[in-house]
Amino acid sequence: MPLLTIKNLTTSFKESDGLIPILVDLSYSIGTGEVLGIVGESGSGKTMSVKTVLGLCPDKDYRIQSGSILFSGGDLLTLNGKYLRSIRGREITMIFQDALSALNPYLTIRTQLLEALPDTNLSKAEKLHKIIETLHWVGFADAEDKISSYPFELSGGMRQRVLTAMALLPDPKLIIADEPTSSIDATLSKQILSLFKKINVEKNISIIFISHNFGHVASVSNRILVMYGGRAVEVDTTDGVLTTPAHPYTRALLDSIPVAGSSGTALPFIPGDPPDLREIGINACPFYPRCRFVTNECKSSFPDKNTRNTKEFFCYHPLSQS
Amino acid sequence: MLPPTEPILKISGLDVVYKSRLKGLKTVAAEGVSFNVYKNETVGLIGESGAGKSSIANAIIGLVEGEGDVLLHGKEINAYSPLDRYKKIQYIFQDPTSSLDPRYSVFKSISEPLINLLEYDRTQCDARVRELLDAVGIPTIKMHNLPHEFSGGQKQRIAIARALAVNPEIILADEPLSSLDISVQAQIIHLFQDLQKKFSLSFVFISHDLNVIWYLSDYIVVLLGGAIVEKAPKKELFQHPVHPYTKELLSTVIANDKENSTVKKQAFFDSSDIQNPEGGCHFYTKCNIAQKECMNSKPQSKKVGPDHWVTCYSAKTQENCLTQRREDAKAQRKS
Repeated sequence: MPLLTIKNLTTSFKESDGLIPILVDLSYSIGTGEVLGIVGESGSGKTMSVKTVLGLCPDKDYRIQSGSILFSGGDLLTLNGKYLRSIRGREITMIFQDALSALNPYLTIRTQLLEALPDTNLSKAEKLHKIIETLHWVGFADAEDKISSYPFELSGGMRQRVLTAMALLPDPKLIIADEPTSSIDATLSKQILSLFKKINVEKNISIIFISHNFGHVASVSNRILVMYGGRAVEVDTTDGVLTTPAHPYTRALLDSIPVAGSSGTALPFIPGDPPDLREIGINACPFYPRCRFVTNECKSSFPDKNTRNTKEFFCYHPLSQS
Repeated sequence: MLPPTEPILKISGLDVVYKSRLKGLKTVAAEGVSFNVYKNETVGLIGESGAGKSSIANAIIGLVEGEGDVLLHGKEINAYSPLDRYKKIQYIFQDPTSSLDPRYSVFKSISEPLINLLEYDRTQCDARVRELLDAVGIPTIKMHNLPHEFSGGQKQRIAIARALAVNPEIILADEPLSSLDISVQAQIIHLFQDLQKKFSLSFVFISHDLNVIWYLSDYIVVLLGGAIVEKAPKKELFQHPVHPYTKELLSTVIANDKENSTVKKQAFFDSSDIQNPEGGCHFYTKCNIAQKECMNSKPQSKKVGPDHWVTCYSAKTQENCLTQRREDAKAQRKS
C-alpha cells in the first residue's frame, strides 16, 4: 500500500475575473522507501501539489475543488487541524528551496533545530545530543562548534544541510524536498544529492524530490513524474522516463538539455510559451499549442490514462517505444 | 569562420583586486588574465563561483577597476568615454527580473540606451524598439507592458533586446541562462546563435555550465581561483584537455547518449576545499599529479597546440604534445 496517495486533486486560485486552474485532476502516489522525482517547468504545479499535501497554501483565494490526499489511512484534506498538525512536521517534513530565507536570521541554528524536535520526553541534554548526532550525520564535521552559529555564518551548502537535519529530526516517514539543489552551486549539488540518497538508503525514508533539473532528479529518484500545466502527463521508473518517453513533452524536454560534446551545434527547443490555463481551459491537453502531433481531439478533451509496462501517461499520440 | 588577424578586444595581464577599506584585506579576484575576442566569435569563460568570471567581465566594461591592459580596437578602454564604451560593449545580467526596472515599460527600458547613447527621438525609438522586439521574439503588441507581466524567459529576451539596441560589437553575457528553466534555456541558446549570425556579434559568455558553453562558444577559457588554467578553441579543448582541472571538469559533464537518450547519473567535481596556497598553483591540493614545485611557485602559461595554452608544470610543450597525440592515435588503432 502506498504511503501517500493523491487522487484526482483539482484546485484553483480565485481571481476577480474567475478561477485560475492550478492543479487539474492530479493523481500520484509514493510508496514506502521510494524516491519520487517531480519535474516540470515553472508554473506546472510541482510545488503547489506538495504544499496542498501539507496544507501550506494560502487559505484565502485558494480553492480545493475535488480530490483526496490519503496518508496512513486518513484523508489530509478532510481531517481536522489537530490531526494535520500531528502529521505535518512530524511524519511528513519539508525542505524548502531557499535555505537562507527558510531559516530565521535572528536565531542560532541550535534554537531552530530544538524547535524542529517534537515534544518528547527527552531532557534538554538528550535533545541536544540528538541534534548534534543528526548534524554529524548530515555532514557537519564540527557540529558541536557550529551549533551556536547564526545562518549567515554558514555557507550555502551548510545551510541546506541544517534544513535537511531539521527535516530528519522528527524521524519522519516522508520528506518533501522542494528544489533543494537549485539555489546552490553545481559542485555543492553533488554533495546534497548524495546526502538525499543516504537518507533514503540508510533511514528508509521516502522522499518526494522536486526539481526542474532532469540530471538531479535522475540521480536520486526511483520513479519520475512529469508535470505540465497542473497535470501529470507521464509517470514511470527513472529509466523508463529517460529511455522510452511516451509523452511528446517529456521527449521535447529531454531533447532540450544541452549536452557538451554532442555532434552539431543546433539544440532542439520547444517553441512557444508555458501554458496559460485560463486560455486553454481544463478540457484540453495543456501541451497542445506547442505539440508537433496535435490533432482536433487534443484541443477538445484531455486523454484518458494509458499504460505501457510500468509507464502511465496521458496522450492521444504517444511516441512509439523504439 | 577564420578570425581576422586583429582582435576587437584584447585583454592582457588583467588583475582585479578588491580591497577592504576597514581591515586592509585584499581579495584577488583575477590575476594575469589574458585572452582575445575576435569579430563574430564567442569566448566562453567557465569556472565555478569565485573563479573570477564576473569580475573579469565587470573590469572589461569598467564597473570595477582592474589593472592591466584592456584594448578595444587597439585603444585602451579607459581612453573611451563611458558613453562610447557602452555603444561598443553591452552587458546582459544573470537575473532579468532585477536587471529590468519594474516601473519601466518594455518600451521605456529598451529606448533608454537609444535616447542616452544614440540620441534618438520618439518616432525613431518606436521603430527601433519594434525591430528589436521582433528580433528577440516578443510580440510588439506587448511593448508598453511592465516587466512583471512577462515570464522569466521573456524578460531575458527583453534584456537581450536592450543590449542589442545600440548595435554593440561585443556583448558580455554573465550567466544569462542560469535562472531559466531547461526548456526556456534551450530557446534562449537558440536565440543567441540566431542573433550572432544576424548581427555578426562577438560574445563573452560566462557560465558555470560546460554544456551551455559547448553550444555557444568558439573559444573556451577555463578559470580557477581567478587565474586562467587552460584556454583553447572549443573542439581542441574537448578532445585534448591538458590541465588536470579541465580534465576533471570535462569528466563531470552529463554524459548523454543521444542514441538511446539516457541521461546518465550526473557527476560533479567537488571543489569545496580548493584553497589558494600562497604563491602556488590553485589546483595543488586537489591535483593527482602535483609535484613539489606546484606548491611553491605558479607555473607559466605554455603553448601546447594551435591557440591552446595551459598553465601547468606537467604540461608538455607543443612538439611533445603533438608526438604524444600521434602515439595515442596509433595505440587506439591497434586496440
